[in-house]
Amino acid sequence: MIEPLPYFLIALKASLFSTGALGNLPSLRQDLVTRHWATDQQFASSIAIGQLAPGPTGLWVVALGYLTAGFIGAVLMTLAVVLPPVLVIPLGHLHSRIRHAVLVQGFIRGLTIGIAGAVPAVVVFRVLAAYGYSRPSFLLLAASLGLLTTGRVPPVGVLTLGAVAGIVLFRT
Amino acid sequence: MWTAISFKSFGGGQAVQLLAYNALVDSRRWLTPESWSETYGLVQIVPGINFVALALITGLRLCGWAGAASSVAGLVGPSFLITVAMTAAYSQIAGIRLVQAGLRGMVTAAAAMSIISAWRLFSPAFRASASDGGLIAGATVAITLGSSALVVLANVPILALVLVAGSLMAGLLWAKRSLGRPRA
Repeated sequence: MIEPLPYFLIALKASLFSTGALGNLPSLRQDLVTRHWATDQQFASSIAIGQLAPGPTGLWVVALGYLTAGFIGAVLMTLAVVLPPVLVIPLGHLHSRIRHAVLVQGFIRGLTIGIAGAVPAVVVFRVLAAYGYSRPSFLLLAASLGLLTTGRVPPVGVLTLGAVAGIVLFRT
Repeated sequence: MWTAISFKSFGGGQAVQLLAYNALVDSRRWLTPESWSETYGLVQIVPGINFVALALITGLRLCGWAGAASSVAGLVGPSFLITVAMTAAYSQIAGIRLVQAGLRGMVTAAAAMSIISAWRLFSPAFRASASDGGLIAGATVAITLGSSALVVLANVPILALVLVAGSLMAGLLWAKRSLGRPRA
């Protein structure tokens, strides 16, 4: 049974100490999957829906909230990702003063690369692994990466091609 | 304006960024290109969704708290409702095998996008580190790969991981800058 307050605090913590659209994913997965409040399958579905839906990709947690705890879950998850950006107001005043402080620069850089290392690792080796590895899934991953690096196909196009390829490759 | 962006920006972050720039700087001239890039730099370091911070700060500067609240509501509201509707619709058809196959393909494509996004976080950080010398650049690569390995192989708590990564980098950079160069 999911308890609303810890659920919200888990989501808030994940969002407060992360950056980027999927930055909160590793922390959320760690906390929610160990408590059996979410499955890797639900994470996978939420990421796909979140990428497809309009608006900031960071709102993928709306889908995760809805799948794991219904409408209330979606609301709690949304609050958890909308509240931390309010820090922009005090930070805006400080920013011009602390921007050049070496410790601040170093800390933000370290945090950013920590997230940059953790997110794709969790997506590829945990969430995607829930489906099991097979040669077609590696090929599809490589092909999507290739398409995205060319920059000629918009993300939503790559997702659509992914869906079509998925139906062809994984329907059995 | 943010409401329109929220509806139009299928496919996520880059679409939002492009539409926001067009609306705020090009067509409405509410911001100059210089203040856009300064604001955009600021929202990168704020936790949570960057665009929410961007909507908040531009709304606040242009028309106070009411502007901030309506900008955020305009950006998040429609997207929230559409995502809930899509998720509810998905729950109804999740049992169908073809849907699962298509979804699996989409998740694989989304995994590729997460690699690209991580690269976009990593490369400016690496460039900044490279200008601080080989040791800092090497540490940047080591911390990034170390985070990947620790989270997958040892399931290290993420909060601890990012706090250690941040402190390590802060310490290294501070040591490099204060010890590396003799003071005049």
